[in-house]
Amino acid sequence: MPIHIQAPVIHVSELPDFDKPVALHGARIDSGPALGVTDDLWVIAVIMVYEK
Amino acid sequence: MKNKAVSVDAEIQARVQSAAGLAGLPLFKTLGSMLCDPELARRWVAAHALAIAHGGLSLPAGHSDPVLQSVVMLDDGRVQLSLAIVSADGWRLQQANSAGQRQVVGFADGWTRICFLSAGDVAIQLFTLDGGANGTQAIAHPPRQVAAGDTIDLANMRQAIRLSHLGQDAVMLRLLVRDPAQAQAAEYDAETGEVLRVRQAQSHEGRTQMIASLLRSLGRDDAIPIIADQIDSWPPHLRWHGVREALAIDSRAGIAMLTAMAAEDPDAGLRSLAARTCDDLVARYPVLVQAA
Repeated sequence: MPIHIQAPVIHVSELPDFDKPVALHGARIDSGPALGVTDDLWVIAVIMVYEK
Repeated sequence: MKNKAVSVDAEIQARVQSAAGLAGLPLFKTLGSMLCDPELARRWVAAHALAIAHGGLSLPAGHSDPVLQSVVMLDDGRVQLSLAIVSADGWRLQQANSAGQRQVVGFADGWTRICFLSAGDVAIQLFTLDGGANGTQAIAHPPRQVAAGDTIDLANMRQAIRLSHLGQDAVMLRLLVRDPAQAQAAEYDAETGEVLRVRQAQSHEGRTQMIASLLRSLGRDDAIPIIADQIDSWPPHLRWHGVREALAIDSRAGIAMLTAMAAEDPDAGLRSLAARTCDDLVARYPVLVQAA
């Protein structure tokens, strides 16, 4: 593309998702007590605004 | 009391240090026998009693809930040792509130040893992953009572437990040895055994993913060379995330990365997805591929 031509603006929402989606690390849907393993709390906090 | 706390903490640290040359399952087996020791836990609680009473000890880094409260005895990133109390009242309330809802069982990375220090009226249910003709399913085993002194070892990738009955509060030691080599964790429906979704097993992947999105939302085009430099070391889902963010930051640089992905990415599915997306973008924005 010639450098003087303005590059189009592409929004993330225009682009397809990965075929096999992988949720964020801390995005647990299990509401039971975590007997075995734990997650990073800060990730869970961010998910509230990051994951739809 | 403070000196006692320092002493027992130093002892736990020394035990972990003595296994510094180990990793993975050998590390888990070595630390399991050294750290899941009721006498060590008793001395640790005695030494930290004041801090516990005043809430001065940290909760585990992570998921905390009203049912299971725990304090960290040690956490060095690869190993976490915690003392957990499961509240019978909290558990009953949660069971009542979640009646009729989907029950979930999660499989993660690493290995866990659970040693019950107090278990007056506790039953657990083991779930294991089994790969059948219809894909991998979570198999529920019959619930069983546990007693004080019982130890349960879990390879978290394919074994998990849920409480099936809790008549009295229970206390347990939990040792978790992480497995940084495992990329993905999964959650299954406890009733049907079907996979509900796959998620990242390692927290650093999520940080990378979110930082890339944050830089894009801030309009930071200096993120492009960083993404381009690191993308080859990322797993397929993160590579796709990176190229999407690059396209949204700077479509000129992003289309070059997308074209390279369509031609050279080692993952066939990702090459195909990149090629389809490239064709679609070029059809919508022909200027992207006009000759200089």
